[in-house]
Amino acid sequence: MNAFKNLISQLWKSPSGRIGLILVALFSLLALGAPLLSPYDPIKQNLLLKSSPPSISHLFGTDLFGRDILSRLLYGARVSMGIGLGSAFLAVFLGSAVGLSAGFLRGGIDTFLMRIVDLLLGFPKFFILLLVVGLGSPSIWLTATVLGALSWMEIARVVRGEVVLIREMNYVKAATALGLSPMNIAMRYVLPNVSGSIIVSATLLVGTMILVEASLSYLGFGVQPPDASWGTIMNQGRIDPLGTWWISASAGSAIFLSLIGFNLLGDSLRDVLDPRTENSQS
Amino acid sequence: MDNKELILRIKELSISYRSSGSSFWGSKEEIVAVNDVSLTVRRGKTFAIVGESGSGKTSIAMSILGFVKPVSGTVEFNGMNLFSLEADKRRKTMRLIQPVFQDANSALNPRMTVETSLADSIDTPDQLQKREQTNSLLRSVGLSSDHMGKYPHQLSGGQKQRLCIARALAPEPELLILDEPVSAQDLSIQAQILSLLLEIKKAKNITYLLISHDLNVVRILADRVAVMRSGILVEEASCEKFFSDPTHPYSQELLENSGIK
Amino acid sequence: MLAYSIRRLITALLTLFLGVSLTFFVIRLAPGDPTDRFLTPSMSPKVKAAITEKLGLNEPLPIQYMTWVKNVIIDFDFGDSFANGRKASTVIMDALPYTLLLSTLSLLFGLLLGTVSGVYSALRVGTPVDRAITSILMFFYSVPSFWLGLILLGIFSIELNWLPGSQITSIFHERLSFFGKIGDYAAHLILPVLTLGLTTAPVYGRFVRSSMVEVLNSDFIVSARARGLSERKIVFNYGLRNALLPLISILGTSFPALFSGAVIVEVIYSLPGMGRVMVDAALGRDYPIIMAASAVAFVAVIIGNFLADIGYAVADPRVRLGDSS
Repeated sequence: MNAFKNLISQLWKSPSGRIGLILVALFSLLALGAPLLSPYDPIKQNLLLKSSPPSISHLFGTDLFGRDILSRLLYGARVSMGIGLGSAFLAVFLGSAVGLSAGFLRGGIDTFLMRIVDLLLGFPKFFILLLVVGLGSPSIWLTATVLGALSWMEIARVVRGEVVLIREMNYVKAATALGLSPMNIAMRYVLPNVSGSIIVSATLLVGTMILVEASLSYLGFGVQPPDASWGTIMNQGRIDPLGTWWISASAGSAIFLSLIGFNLLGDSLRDVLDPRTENSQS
Repeated sequence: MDNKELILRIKELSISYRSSGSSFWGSKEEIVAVNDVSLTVRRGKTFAIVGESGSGKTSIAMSILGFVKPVSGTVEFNGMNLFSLEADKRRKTMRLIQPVFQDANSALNPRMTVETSLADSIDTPDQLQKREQTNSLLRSVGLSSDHMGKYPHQLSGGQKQRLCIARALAPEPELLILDEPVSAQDLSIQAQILSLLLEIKKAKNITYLLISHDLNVVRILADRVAVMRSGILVEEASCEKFFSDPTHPYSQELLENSGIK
Repeated sequence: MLAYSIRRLITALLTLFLGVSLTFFVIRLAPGDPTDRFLTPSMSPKVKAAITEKLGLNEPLPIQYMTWVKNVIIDFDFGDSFANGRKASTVIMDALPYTLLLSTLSLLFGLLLGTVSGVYSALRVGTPVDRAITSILMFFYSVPSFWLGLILLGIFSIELNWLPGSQITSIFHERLSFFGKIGDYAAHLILPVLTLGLTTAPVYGRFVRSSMVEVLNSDFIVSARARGLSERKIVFNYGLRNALLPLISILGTSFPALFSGAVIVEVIYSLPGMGRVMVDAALGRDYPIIMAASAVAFVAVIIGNFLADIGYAVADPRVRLGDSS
């Protein structure tokens, strides 16, 4: 807990770290508090009020079916951030496991795992997503799973690269000489020293995942109604970009600001946690 | 020489590395690091291997510790061939050979406190006993229990090296492999660490295999000296003989360059 | 080198084969039925069965797969579109040039913009100029391309009416002279290229900045300064060469991202490229088109990675191909 506080205070020192923290915290709170904060039911249509611009009663206006956009965005935060966090978590888990195994065990297992990674990196990811997500009319969970399952390879590469270096460190040799089990060494001597890069990649990946999901649902391939992500909401603004400017303006801002938040936070975390810079530990 | 007196016997050891940057089906260049080296180390003595960097001295140390597989040759420890031990027996035996590395920074896990680092090296499930042993280990290298909760980056260079020595002593080893143990330290710290090493040797009757390019350090610690050059052992002699009357021209050159002679 | 190239080719073909095969089964096992498009609720199951048979969908999946592979390898025949009966290869070949044009122009634009701003920023590291450039790069790094596209479209096409905002040609395109036609294409491409280029540039800009800062602080630059070499020479001859080298490796891996970016931009600006084709095919479960498009997408990514490796080897004499570690 102390280490966490320390990290937050280090991040707080730089303007970008501060903005990143604030935005990520803000969006997380908005997503969590959606039921309390939403002024209207996000799926209740009111055709009398369809496509009305921002007003006192509907701060961000209404969409083509007269639904309150602010309420839809708040609930959309749950979908977008949920998919972003969920898929990033899965990708980080898979990527770390593969990277750690490959880099630590080396030899045939390393070659085999990295060939698979190379093979999968050669896949046109977005197109496959389009097909799987588009054809499957998926739930939020399935979307997150598919996104995560297709995005772990870069993390595996990063983790493997660091593990290969750390494996040669003398403290790992010392631990080996002490007869500690390989599992013990991998989990307690190697993994904690890669955790910095893992946290950085994970944070940046959340942003990327939110963007990819938004792009998919913007194209009409996203989660299915009644669920709506920010991309789904924005899709409605396509039909008349100027006439219903508030739809794309508000949904676009939500996506943009959350991305800025995760990207700035990831960048600042890299500055703070980078093992190559001093004053980085604990 | 009888077997009890002998702790380590290296027979016709050869080690080579494959060069990087070789092509898939093309031939790989082999770089010979150690070429047919044989030597024996007596129990309770300090055996020094000297030579410039790249002479193969560290490769020998790494192959004793099992980090490098030799092309040919054997390493016998207490009469057992280290390369042909069963896993369980090997684990027990290898705990009797402990390394102390040159750079204490990279030899300590940055994410572990002093206490955890030491506790990890003590092989007992009894927590109370572990604590006591940790404490006495710290004291034996001149650190105090105040250091217990500290991380490596909160320690000075000398303290880190002391911690490394304490960790190496934890499994009660018979052989310590000292790979340039003081060359990363300031002169004043060097003196402290060297006297600590002498003290430990006296108290515990541990054998040292010292890897060093620094002849001043060798003169203080060693009983016997072996000189390596480009993977070949060119001379082996007692410490007195080596420093007073080296036979091989390369040894003479080393001594001249070091300013001792 | 030869051995390396052969190994790369084998890996590439394997990737292509595995990837396309995987795609085949994934899309077949995914829910949805291509015959839906021909059906009205009143149609009898008999008619549906007839259509299914006509499209060759009644055979067991492995048989269909074998047939597909055989047709592709022997006749280079990807089948006919379920939607309009055109040959899938023709549909793809009609669309591909637009996507390649858009991707290439955006890549060049993004690369130029990214490199220039990255280097400029690195030379003034820590100053307000650097901070401003870094912030702008972060802005475009985080802005979703479909949003930026929509904003540019709204401003420059709909509101100001300066530039066309949809299709690749004007309705009077055929009546234009040769140069008029080229100008017409160019006008239609400005906003799409701007959108894709602006969102691509920060990827390179951020990378170039950090690698340039690192290079400028390295020992050999410091010693070059000490030797009194001109700042110009230091920046261009020493700094840039070493800073841009690693860029080549991320260039290759950014091909898939560029491709997916192009898909979105094409949809926004209604360009007749691969993006439109892929989206329509996926929505309509047009299997022959999906398979042909996926083959092209795999080939594009593979070629991208291959070019990056070659480029890297050419640019850096220290790299000997095949050193995988």
